[in-house]
Amino acid sequence: MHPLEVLRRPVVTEKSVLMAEEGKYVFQTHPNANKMQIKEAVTQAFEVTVLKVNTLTMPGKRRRSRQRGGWESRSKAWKKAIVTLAPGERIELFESP
Amino acid sequence: MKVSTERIPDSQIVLNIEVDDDEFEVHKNRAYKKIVQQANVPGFRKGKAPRRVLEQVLKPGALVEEALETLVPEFTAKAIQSEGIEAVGQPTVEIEQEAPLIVKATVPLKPTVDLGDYQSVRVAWEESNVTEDEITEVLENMQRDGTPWEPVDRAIEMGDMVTLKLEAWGTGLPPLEPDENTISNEDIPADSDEDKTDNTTDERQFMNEDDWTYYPRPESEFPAPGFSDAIIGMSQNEEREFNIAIPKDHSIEDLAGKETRYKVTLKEIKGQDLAPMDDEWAKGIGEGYESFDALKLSVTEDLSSRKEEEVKQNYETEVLKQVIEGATLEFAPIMVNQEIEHLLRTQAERLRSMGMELESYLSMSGTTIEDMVEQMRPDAESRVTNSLILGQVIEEESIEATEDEIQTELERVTGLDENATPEQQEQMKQLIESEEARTSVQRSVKQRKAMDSLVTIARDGTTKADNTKEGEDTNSPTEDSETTDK
Repeated sequence: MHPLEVLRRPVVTEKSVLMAEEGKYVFQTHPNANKMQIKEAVTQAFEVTVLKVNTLTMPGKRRRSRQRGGWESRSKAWKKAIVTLAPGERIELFESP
Repeated sequence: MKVSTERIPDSQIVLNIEVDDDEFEVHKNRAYKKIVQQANVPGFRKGKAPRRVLEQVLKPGALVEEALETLVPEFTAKAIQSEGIEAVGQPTVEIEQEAPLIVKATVPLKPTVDLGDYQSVRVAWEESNVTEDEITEVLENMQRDGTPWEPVDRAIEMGDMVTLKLEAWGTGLPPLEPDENTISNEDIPADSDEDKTDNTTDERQFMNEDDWTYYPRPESEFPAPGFSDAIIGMSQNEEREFNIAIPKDHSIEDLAGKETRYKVTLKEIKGQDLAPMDDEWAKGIGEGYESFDALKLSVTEDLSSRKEEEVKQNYETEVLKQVIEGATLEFAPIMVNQEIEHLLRTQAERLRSMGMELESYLSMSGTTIEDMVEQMRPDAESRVTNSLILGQVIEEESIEATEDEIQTELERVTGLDENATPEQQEQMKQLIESEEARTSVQRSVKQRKAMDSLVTIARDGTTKADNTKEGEDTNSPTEDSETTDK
């Protein structure tokens, strides 16, 4: 897998902004990416030292569609990665003033 | 904050306010706090999005805009204060530059009024007098109004009411305008048009009325001067054709100086059987008068008071005009605009009381609000001028309004509606007691007195010998006016 395919987008939510202050940054990643690949990608992209990567698969949410007679479907599951950086290092993208 | 000022004409001053980045930042933060409470940012509850995130979600510049909204008034107010400027209205503000922020505020200043030599304004006073003719005219009108129209079997006389079929042609009239529907209808009787065009090529029909009511009077100018004379003596069902040359100074421009031809068929004559002007008749007029003489006296008094009022009005206008001519005054355009707004509001209110909205009135009369504003401009300007002049007179003559005068005026203004409902009266009462009404009435009383004193000055010059020195003049009339007013 090419390193550019690994990271899909940063997750910007109340929670993730809070975590960023402890040096933990949250990304949505390729569902098949492993922790090593994620570490590699973040290091390359932001020029930081990655201490730890935690991953989890976020299950898709149940969706009902009115048009299909209330049939249930699922939105896609996605992989979330929480990357812990070395203390003092930051990623600009999440910076809060 | 750095401020530089520049005085420009029309009583205005331009402030160039340079706002420091820190001060700007404070306001941006304030703006963020305000916006964030309302903003829906995905991933955040309301009010929880950090400024950085919010700024990315918003339209670029939205935060700055919001910040300016609080910053600009605050800083212009500050600048006005620090420069010691006496502003009379809201400044007009422009953003000159964004980084560093420079705000350009045009502040309307207190108008400067120099009355000039208003003490020496003299206008000749014309006494009003009511002539016997005027009284007779009013009486005759009363006589006519009270008498019904009855069909009569005789020839037309002046003062009758007649029903006619009237056709009229004119030579050298301007061509018809297609959208003038009143006349273009007359194109339809083509037969009559055609045989006329044989004789004179440019003759055109401009009237074709059936069952047309007409009042023959010697002074009647419509449809043409002398028309009444021409139909006098006609009897029922008679037909008459005649020409009238319309004088060059006729009020209808298209017709002035033209040769016109009329064809009249008389259908009906109605006359009035006028009661003689005597005591008996006077008893039936209005609420009833004792005698004819009493009626006549009341009419005379009515007329003379109306005329006096008129003369006084004209005199005041003339005096004011002359004072304005001698005065130099400078005021900011915003004052005129405020006056226009005020006029528009009153207009809208008046329309509303007649059950119409301003918008529907505008669309009905085919004008736009801009047209109306432009129309009002001269009026508004002269109102501003007048009130400034009078204001200055109030100051220079140190005119004051006493409690009593204010009270009387308040009662006069509000007491106009005698048959108002109790609710309305209650409202009126509240109005009387409100501070606002008081100040406005006080101002109008003062203006009234100022006008009176101007009149006194202008009249005194004519009644007193003209050889009184100006210096003496300046004092005596003012004292006069004050004592007479109290």
